[in-house]
Amino acid sequence: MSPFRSERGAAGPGAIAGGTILCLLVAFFVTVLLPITDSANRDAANGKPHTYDQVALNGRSLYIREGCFECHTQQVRNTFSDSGLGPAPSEAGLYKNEAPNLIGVIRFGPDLTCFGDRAGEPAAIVRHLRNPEAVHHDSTMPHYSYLTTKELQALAAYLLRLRCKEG
Amino acid sequence: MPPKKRGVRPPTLGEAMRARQAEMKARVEKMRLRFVEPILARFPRILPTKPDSAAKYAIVSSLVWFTVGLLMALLLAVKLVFPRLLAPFPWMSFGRLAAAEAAVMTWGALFTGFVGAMFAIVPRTTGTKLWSERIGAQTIMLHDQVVLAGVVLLLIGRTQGIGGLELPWPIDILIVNVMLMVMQNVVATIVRRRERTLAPPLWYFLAAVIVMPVTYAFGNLAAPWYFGVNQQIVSGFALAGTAAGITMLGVGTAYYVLPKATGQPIYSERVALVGFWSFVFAAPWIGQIQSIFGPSQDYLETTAIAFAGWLLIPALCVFVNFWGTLRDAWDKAISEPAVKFVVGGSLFLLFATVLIGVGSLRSMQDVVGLTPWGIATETALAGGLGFFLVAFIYHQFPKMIGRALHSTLLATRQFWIQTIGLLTVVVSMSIAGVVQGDVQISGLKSAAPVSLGNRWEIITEAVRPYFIIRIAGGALVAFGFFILITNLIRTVTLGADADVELPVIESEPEPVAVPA
Repeated sequence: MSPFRSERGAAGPGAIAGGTILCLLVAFFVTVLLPITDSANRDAANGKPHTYDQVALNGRSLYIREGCFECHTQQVRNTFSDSGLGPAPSEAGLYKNEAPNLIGVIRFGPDLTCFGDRAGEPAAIVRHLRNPEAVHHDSTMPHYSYLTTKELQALAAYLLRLRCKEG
Repeated sequence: MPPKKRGVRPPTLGEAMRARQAEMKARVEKMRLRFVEPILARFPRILPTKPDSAAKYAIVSSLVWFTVGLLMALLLAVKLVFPRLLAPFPWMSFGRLAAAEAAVMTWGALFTGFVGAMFAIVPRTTGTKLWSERIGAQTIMLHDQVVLAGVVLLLIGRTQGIGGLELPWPIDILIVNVMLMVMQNVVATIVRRRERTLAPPLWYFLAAVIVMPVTYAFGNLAAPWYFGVNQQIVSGFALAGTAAGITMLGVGTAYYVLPKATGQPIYSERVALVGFWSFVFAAPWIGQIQSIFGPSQDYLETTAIAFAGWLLIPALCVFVNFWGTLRDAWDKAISEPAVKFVVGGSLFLLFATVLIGVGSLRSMQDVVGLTPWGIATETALAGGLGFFLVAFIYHQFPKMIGRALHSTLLATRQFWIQTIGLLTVVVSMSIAGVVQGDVQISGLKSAAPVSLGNRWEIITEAVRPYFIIRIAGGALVAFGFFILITNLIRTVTLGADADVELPVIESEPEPVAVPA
């Protein structure tokens, strides 16, 4: 006798398929449809978005291409441990024009939300990107020496635009 | 009007149409047999019709992808300690490689392997043939090419830029297409089943083949159209659905392997049912555990945390059911490698659930949020599911090719090596997460916070030992996998002949009443 032959039919395929779709619909309604139609996430969002010029936008696409978002976040969480990272926790308005949003899920490196406030000269950023270990001895950041100088300058221009303070 | 003749009446329009349709169908079938089949039969390797061909293709593909993925993961772990390694090559840069590794492990290794498990298990639990071996084999071949193309695109820097959903949209469409092909095959087989009731593996498979294409297609194809926080919400739904689908495939596989390998019936079908529905209900809700304290709505975080804790219910149901099934058969855990891996996998699954549930609590997120704790969770989950897949391969693969397994001893060694390796990775990464968070908090007392760029080195130095330990753990996992490959190759070449176990096809083709 097969170990699977049950006496009472626990569930038929229709019940399983229907129940699964129902569960998905409920979850979709509450966790996706309600929040994304909420104007607090887009039009009425608090927080000032970053602004970019063309060079900075090129740098942003390089930031995406090289997968910087795999190790760096761009969010100051509304919690004690992140309280030193920026003047205020990041709000939805900061990201309202950003697609992809580059919020990030893990920090192998520092948070970059307000990097422009604390960064030095563009040339110093380029030097750091070329060889991070020359600037910070124990850095585990990859070396971006394979990027051209123009690309590195665009990346630096993008990073300098990540400002939280006014002016 | 002429009187009606009794007994002979002219066919109604509907009857005439149905008769005509049947006639046309017969003619098409005749032409197919005459013209199409001979051509298809010329290519028995790429268009096989024998039972289990599709499953074999999938298992071999999955083994290859698993090897590639584990090596990539090992390389990533080494690069986090020695960033100079392979630094001049753009396509070996950490950011690109991380995305490619996730794609290989998710879509190449686990998904392909579990699809193979489904192609073998669904016929065996329904008592009928797989709906189409040819389409099944073609699905796997297409999927291999799709994953390869996706990995190449990620390595040359074509990424969607969303963490976890990096594959660009043409690849996403093709992956959804593969999922729909799998769904067609599985659902059509279940509809033609000879067993009246559905076994527990089939519940999980049926739910998974519905959840995965729906959530993946919506999340991936919609996410780039949304901005900012809304994009995070949409992609979180896709990530939760995909993870839920792959977990369901894994648990379903284990629910087949365990009773078959021990010869014991499932401990309790009612517990299995509770676990199944509690998982199907809760799993799609937890997408936002990636952004606790983040910019999205607070109630989303609260529901995600609540349902992340809720996941302990299905995990405990699986655990109780598996260990209950073994209560009179613990000796099988020594003699059968498959049982051993199911037991280990259920422990890792429970471990992953605890890490998800505990780690997503707000008080814990203050410390471990956005730290390597997330790697610990992913590794425990992928390790548990990988163990279920390895259990299936040890149980079914030798029977499919008609050989006895070459060596149980090698399997036992693989089990312990991989268990120790996975535990090393999981424990060291969860400690690294706590250390990183605590250093960040204690640094707040000083004038310049530690987590800012100039002083990030303090965190790097604090977590470096754990990353070095992780390399050792990852190396053990990869080494254990090579033992599996060796064992399987020796099974193919040197294994003693045994009977090929084919799906039992019940001969009487009586139609089954399908409950609505």
